[in-house]
This record gives sequence, C-alpha cells and structure tokens, in this order.
Amino acid sequence: MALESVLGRVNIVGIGATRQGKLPEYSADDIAVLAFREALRDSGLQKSDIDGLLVQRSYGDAGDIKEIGHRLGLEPVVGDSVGHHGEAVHKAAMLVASGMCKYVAVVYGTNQRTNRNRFGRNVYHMGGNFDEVYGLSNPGATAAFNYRRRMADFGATEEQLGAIAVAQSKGASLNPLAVYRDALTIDEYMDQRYVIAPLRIVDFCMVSDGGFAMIFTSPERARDLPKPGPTIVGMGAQASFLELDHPRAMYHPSQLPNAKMLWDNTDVKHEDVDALYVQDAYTPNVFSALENYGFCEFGTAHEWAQGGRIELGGELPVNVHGGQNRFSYMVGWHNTYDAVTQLRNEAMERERQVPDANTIMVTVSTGHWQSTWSMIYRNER
Amino acid sequence: MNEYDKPMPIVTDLNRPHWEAAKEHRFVIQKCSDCGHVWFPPMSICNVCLSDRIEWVDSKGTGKVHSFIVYHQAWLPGWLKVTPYNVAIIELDEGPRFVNNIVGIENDDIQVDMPVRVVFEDVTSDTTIPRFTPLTA
Repeated sequence: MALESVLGRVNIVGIGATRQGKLPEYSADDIAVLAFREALRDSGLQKSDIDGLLVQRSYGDAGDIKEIGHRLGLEPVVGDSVGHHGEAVHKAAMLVASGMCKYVAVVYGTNQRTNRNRFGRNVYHMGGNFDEVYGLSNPGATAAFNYRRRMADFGATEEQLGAIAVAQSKGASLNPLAVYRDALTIDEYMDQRYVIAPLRIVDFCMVSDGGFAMIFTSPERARDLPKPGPTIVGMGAQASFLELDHPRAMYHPSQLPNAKMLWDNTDVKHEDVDALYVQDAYTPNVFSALENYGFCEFGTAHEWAQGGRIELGGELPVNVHGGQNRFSYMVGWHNTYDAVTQLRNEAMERERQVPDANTIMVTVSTGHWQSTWSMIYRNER
Repeated sequence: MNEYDKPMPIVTDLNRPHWEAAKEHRFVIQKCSDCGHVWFPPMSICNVCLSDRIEWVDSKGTGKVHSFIVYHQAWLPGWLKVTPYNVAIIELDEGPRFVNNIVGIENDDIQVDMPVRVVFEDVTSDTTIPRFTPLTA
C-alpha cells in the first residue's frame, strides 16, 4: 500500500454550484467567486478559515489565481493555479493530509458559452499545421477515432453507443441544474445528425457557462462541521503525453496504470461502487473507463452497458447528473459536485437519488486521452 | 475557379524537408542517427534518447488505416464545401502514426486496417500535399 498518508485523511465538507448554461451577466471570474461563496455557505466555515486556494484556469485567460485570490479577499497559506479538476482534488488532498493547510477550497468558473469558445482547432498540432492541412479539427475527433476502432476491433455498433446518451439524458431530465432536460430514446438518438462520424451531435459535450467549488479538510476537523463527509478513500494518477505514439492510443491509455494505482491502494472493491462518474467530453469515453477500470472486460463495454445497466436504478449508474452533453460542460467539476450530493442523500427530492449511495468513484481526464485522475469518495461512519 | 482553397502548409525550418520532398513526390520522415527511432510529424530532438542528431529518410510510403472519421461539419476554411470528408490516422509500415486523408475511395468503403500507399497531389505550382489511397487502387 502506498498513499496511506492521504487516503482516509481528507473529507469534502462543502460544495457549491452556480446556475449552468448561459450567464452573460457575469464574467468567468465572477462565476468562480460565486461558486466559492456557495461552497463556503454549504460548509459552515468562515471565509477567513480558508488557508488553501486552488483555481483552475479557464477559457479566455480567466481563473488566474492572483485575480481570484484578490476577488475573494484571501491571504491563504497556499494559493495556486491548476490545470484540471483532478489535479485540484489531488493537490487539495495532499495539502490537507500533509498539514500544510487546514481548509482548502478548489474553484472553477467559466463563461465560455457567452464568450463563444468554438473548440474548432488544435487536436495534435505537432511539427507544423498538419491538422488543418488534412482537415482535422475539434478534439472530439479523438473520440470518433476511438469508436471507429472499437467498431472494427469488437463489432461495436452506433446504436450501442447510443446507450450512453440515452442513459445520461434520462439522468439530466431529473437534475434541476441540468441545461438540457429532455430525455432521448434510442430512436431519437439514431436520428441525431452526425458531426464527426461515427459520432452524432449528442455524443459531444456542450459549451456552457458555470462554476463549481469544493472545500476539503481533515476528518477530525470535519466532525465539527454541519456536513462532515464524504472521505477520499481512493486515488489514482497517470499523466500521458505520447498521443498517437502510444501503442494503446485508441483506448485512453492513461486509465490503465491509473486504475492499477487506484485499486492497489484502496479497500474498495468494484462491487462496492454505487455510482461512477466519467469525464464524458465525448460519450465513447464512458466505454473506455468501464473497461480500463475493470468494471467489465476489455472489448465488451458496448455490450455490457446495454439494457439500462448504467442508468439510475441499474447495476452501475454512470453520470446520473446527465453528463457534459446534458448537464453542463464542467470538465470534471460537475462529477465531484454530484457525487457528494448523492453521498449526502441530497438528490432525494428529485427522485434521482442513487439508493443507499455510500461509495462513489470519479474519473476525470484531460482531452486527447492524456492525463487521468481518479478518486473514490465514501461515507465513513 | 479551381484554386486550392483549403489551408496550405505553413513551411518552417522544422518541416521544410518534408514539404520540399513532397514536391519531388517523396514522403520523408525523421530518424534518430543515434538510437534509430523513426517518427513523423517532425520534432527537432529525438523523444526516445533525446539526441539532436536527426536525419530525414525516405519512407516506403505504405501502411495501414489505423482509424478514420468522417466530418459532416467543418471548422476550417475550404473544408466545408467538401463535407462529408474523411480524416484518417495512417500507421506507416516503418511505425509512425499521423493524420492524413484517404483518396480514391468512397468514405463508406474505407475500412480500419486497410492497406494504403502514399499518392501526391500537386495542389499549386509549388505545393504538393501527400495523401493516401488503397494499396489496390
């Protein structure tokens, strides 16, 4: 066992969300500040208690730590920029567990929908403008390559892929924060237009405004707060930069070593996981995660996920908040937010509560099958 | 108007040998003079042994379609009017993988792992763009 200095020693004691979708009245940094305010209220802490602040940079040069730190009026022990939600959670946990900080807030805010981030360009962009010479654009291309390869390697079908969008749309229909709440049938999925075949429009994340924040502290300090749990009981990390040079480039290669670290260092078993949240910038990512984390055999996720298995009420509910096509494009932040909501039984009133949710796994990745972070959150009572 | 209106190669010191060779209908890739690693697209330093002794070598120009996708929407100038168009990951027999296009075949007939070979499209009097076509074509 490694990681024993961190696992079991950090709780999430506050979560905050803004409205999602289009927030033209606010700047990205306003949104980050508002998300922090909600998390602080939720935690019952005073602003002056926060002695660690990690802010994810966001579209349009927003999310600069100096700017957000000033806007929050904080003088924390540690204040830093991070590149990703997974990095934020992992570093917050390390800061708390090491004793460097007592209460660490992690924050993200974006107004990239209002500011019209188009995601048109820059997929591989090495060695020249080869991408544009050959017509490659939109990072969703990487997921389309992945699913085409899966179709050839394992006989997966486009209709099987539709199970993910269908499941997530059902979850979104119950989520009061979700931007799009219409539940899709598989026939409606198949009628959606192609963007980059074999992927259809609802296989892609939306672009949306919004923000999330969380606050972390030790289990001992958490006991004095109104909402003391859950506790981080699993962590996996793996960076990846080889892109197409990686032998398993088509199948999210960083997740395999990430999964090994995660499962080797936790007492949680697959069957203990009550719900799974996957960064689904593109729906095929869900199949890769189900396989790479060992919930089913490699090459079978497109079959395994059929028949409502990944829906609310199924064997392993996945992305029950609706995912980034239906809930909001929040690059992983929405995953921890909803996981904590579920673990607190706070989703009851919308009939979207995962029954007896006690253990939830979250995995988040940067684009292009690169670096991955995973976390397992559990109620320790 | 038959002028080529898609994005043209931006020639830099790093990639100039590739585009110059294309004009001569050769497909060249990079090789490390120290460890023998071959790669494409270009980098100025080998990312296996970190040597900067790099040479350009002729590829046989044959390989396979590792995966391919079809754009029904376009973000780049010139590409919109040719939708649906394909972009493929080519895996050269020498090893490197990179993006390119498959020509001389309908999009619906392209298959993963299909053998392909390079062909050269002289898009202007001084620019040639390598693309790939089924080996049997």
